[in-house]
Amino acid sequence: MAEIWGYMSQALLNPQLLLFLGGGVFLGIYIGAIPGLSVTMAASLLISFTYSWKVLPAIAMMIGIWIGGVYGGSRSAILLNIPGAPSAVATALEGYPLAKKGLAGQAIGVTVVQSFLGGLIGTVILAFGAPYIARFAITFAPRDYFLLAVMGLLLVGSLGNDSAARGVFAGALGLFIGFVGLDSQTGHQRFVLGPAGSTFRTYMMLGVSYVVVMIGLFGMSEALIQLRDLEIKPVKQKVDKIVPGWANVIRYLPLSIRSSLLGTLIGALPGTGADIAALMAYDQARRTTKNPEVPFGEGAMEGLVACESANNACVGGACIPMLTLGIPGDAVTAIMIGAMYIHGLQPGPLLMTRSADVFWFIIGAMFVGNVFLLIFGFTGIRLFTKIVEVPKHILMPIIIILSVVGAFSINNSIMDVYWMIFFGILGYFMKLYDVPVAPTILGIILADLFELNYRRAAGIVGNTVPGLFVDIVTHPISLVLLIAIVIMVITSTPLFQNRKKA
Amino acid sequence: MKKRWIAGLLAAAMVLSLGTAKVKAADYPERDIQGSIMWSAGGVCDTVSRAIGAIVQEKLGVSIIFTNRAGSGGGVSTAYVNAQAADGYEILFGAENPQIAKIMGTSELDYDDFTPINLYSTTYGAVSVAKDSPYETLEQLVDDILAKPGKVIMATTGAGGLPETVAAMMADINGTEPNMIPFDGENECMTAIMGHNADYTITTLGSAASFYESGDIRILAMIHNDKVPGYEDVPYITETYPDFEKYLPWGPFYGAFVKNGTDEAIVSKLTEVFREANADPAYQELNTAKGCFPMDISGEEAVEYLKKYRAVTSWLLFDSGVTEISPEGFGIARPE
Repeated sequence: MAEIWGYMSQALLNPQLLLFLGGGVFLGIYIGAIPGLSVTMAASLLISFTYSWKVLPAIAMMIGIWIGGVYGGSRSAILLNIPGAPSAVATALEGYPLAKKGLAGQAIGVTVVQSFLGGLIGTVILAFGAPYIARFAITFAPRDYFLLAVMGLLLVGSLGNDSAARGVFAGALGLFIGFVGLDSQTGHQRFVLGPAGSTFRTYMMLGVSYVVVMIGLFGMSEALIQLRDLEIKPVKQKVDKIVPGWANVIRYLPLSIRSSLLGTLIGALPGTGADIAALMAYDQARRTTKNPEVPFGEGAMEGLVACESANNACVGGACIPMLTLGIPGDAVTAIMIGAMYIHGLQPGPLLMTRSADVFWFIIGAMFVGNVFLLIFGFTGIRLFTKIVEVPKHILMPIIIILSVVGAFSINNSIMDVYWMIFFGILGYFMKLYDVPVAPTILGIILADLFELNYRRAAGIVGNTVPGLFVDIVTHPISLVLLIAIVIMVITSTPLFQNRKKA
Repeated sequence: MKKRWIAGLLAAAMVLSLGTAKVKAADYPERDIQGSIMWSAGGVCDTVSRAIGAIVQEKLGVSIIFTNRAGSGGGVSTAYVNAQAADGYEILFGAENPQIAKIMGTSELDYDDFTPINLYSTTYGAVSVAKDSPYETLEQLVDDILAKPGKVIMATTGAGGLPETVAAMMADINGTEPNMIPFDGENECMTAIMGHNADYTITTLGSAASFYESGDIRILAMIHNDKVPGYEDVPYITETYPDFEKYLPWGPFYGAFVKNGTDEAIVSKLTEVFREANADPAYQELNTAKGCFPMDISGEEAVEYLKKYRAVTSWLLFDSGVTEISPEGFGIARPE
């Protein structure tokens, strides 16, 4: 036990490690805030640098960037309605309306505290329950991932507006975009256009990156829509009460804990990550919150609380399969596993026994990193909220430039910029005709999870639908998920909703 | 008169650009290099490629910025690098898969379209099951697949991946027809067998190595015709089924490539640097940890190796009926 404390406290007591960790968190916040720059990208750049470093500083920096980056995505989501990362899509839905009311400062304050709480809860679960959760997570079968995706698709109801048809249309569009490109199982080209050998065709073979679609539909289209009304004066931001009080934290605590547990579990599943965790937590908050002060979609704090605590809890969750089984929980953990190999470690079942120091250092670093997040998260808020006060004729062109730069920086590809502009214009018309854009992003995020796992699940039972149904009802995890889906569907029908009102 | 001016300017521009092209080859590399890895992050191809890349970039004095462009048995990466300029600033870090892309119909490109810089690692296939699997030996597994055709589930990585290729060898020799379910990568195949969502898998040794060591899986056989160093306890497949001899030795490899048409000076500079990196003990240590073995071949030798690999594997897949596209159509001659 004393040894474990020793390993864990290195993160706090070794000044060099502390510096790398803190620097990582700070850097991560700003990398996360810029759409197009992602934690995955930063981590894969870093791994090249860190080859010549020692292993602990390298890991400290990566964890710092990861923690900061997952949080950072919420900043631009709140201030500009451009999620810095797909895990902040739900944040934009509630955060941006708050900014429009002059409450951007408070919104950022809440996201900092909730990210910290989520991160902490995720780390505690990682420290105490890792081996058990990992054993549970690997039993998730393709049919379970398929059911999770179905559950995710039901979120269309929560992300859209009152018109169900528009929401379903937007979600279906997202699924369709997700299907474009080479089929990863058979190599068939699907919906790939353009002459053979052209750059355009090659691009389509790779599929359209969902970050490109996200920047276009959220950022670019928002700027275009705002340009219609240049006369409206920007809202003056209130910046006097940024740090949420204890009463506020305690009031939302049950929701934070629920969302964090959900986030940790979804993060621990090797097939799902922070983007899906945040959206599911948001949906869960929307269903369980009886009387929000402000309706959802117009700046409900509950929405921010749920998705921000869930996506940071996901970091701890994703570490579970990485540290106990050597299986990546998402793209960032995959890179960290590679980094550990390069540094002569063997991530996986042997790590806990052979390199206990590294295992516990990572957990210690995550605790300390979250404290850094709490500190750095409150820096620069006053300055940042000023962005919203910038006159529109100056701000909107800057957003367009940022969108272009963001799209280009994903792959250094000009094609990404063209597609981003295309989706920006598409988003403009969607917004003009009241079609919500968030379900489209949801569709793209879920397309692979939904389709590939359906094919796997059906293949396992010999490609028969009745066989798949029997397979689902005879396995406990699948049955629970199926029942949850049925309940979700029934409770959203008009029949049930009317009875509740009466 | 004006036309002459324009012509003169054009000619001058051409001469100048020729000059700069020469200078560029001599100064190579003067900016960061992009590296496209054919398989997803954290896999064997990814890890060995990043490891050798890390040494290469130090020797070159510029960074190699890696991007994983996984998908379609490597077809996504070959398509990407082929669409970029042949200037030595785009390096393809790939595995054996493109050599069967044409006959599998997954891509129109294979390593004929690229110049090999260095093939740095090789490894073998391994048949794995979960630690509590009812199959104790390869023979039991094969007999059960034969008894229940289409019922025993094998986790694969999709068309053109190593699992499906070895499954084709087994179909040819043992007549086995498993129910093949494609997962995203070899790590996911290991998860599938450990979570009992598949009965067995055949992956590169590297993906199975750490789970084998920890006792979470058992390796029933190596796809090799001799004992594999470090894994002397594990039976090799010709012990049980000597007919495999005709395909062996056979195994995946990992290498670095540039697009055809890249300046020879750049190719030889890269070749030299990769050779030096191969000798680095840190790289070889990682290679062993990842269940791989040293290879280090380049130039004509690498071209010959690639051609032979393509011929053997393509005809194997065609003869066993995995694909209906004949290798002959692409001028791939049947190996003797």
